Amino acid sequence: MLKAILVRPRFDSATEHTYAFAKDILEMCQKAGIEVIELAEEDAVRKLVEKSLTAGDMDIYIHYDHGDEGALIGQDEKACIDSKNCKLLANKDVYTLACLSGKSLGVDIWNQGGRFWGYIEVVSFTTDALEEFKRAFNCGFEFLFINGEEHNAALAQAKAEFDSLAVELVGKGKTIAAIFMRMNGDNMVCYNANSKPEEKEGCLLAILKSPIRLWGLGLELIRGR
Amino acid sequence: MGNNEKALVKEVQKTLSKIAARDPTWTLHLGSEQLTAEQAAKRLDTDKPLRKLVITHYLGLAIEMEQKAREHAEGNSSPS
Repeated sequence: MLKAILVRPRFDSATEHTYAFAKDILEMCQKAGIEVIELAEEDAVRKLVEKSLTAGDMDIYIHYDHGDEGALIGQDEKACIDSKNCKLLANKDVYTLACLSGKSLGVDIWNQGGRFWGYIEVVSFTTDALEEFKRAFNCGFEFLFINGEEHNAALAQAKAEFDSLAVELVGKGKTIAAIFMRMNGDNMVCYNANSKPEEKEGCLLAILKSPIRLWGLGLELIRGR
Repeated sequence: MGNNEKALVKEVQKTLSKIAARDPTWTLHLGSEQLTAEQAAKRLDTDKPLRKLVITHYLGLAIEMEQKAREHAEGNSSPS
């Protein structure tokens, strides 16, 4: 049986909504028999997150909501997870709605052997389409952990869902919501065993890991080109 | 901002003004920021990256809608 930690702070208007979005995740887990430790509101803090991650044999870490490039933020508006403790997520799946966290933290988690589902830019939503945004933000979780899809297949399916919901919103006359729905789908990423973070491709480490390119560069340097 | 871009932004701002008049409680959550429709419209004048993203996805949506309409029309006109 899968085990998950659901972290859902609630301290501002955005987290009021995402707290509610996460309720569906909780219900999905309960129906599917996924055991969930819920760290909500006052319990959504670093100390308790670390305690839960070290205590049990967890498979999934879910975090709804705020974040930045290097952290997932808790109820006290401080980091629950950052580069210092993300090794606790090795071999685990992270599923988050937090803004920007795919940029750096997601890469750190992936480097630790974890799998990361999140966003590389600011996540946005409008209040005239909360049901549609909830459906979009939660669909990846359903594809991955309820339907058992492979990570990249689930990502492709989720991106298609965002696009389809965007078109649906235009049909309902909610063009602005549709624009931001499409934007979120574009910014959604999944780093796993079969899909590296894009930043890895151009970095020095990638060059060093590639003996052929390294030898080629060395030869060019020796030849003085 | 080119003329085409200006025209597109104006259209989006027009839509936001209609929303503001229709639903004063309408909110855009941009991460931890909250904007009313009126504030979002003004933001498009000053926030260049946001403006660029909005235009990109506005156009993307228009292309997708056109494709879907064409597929639908072709589906309806194909011989049975």
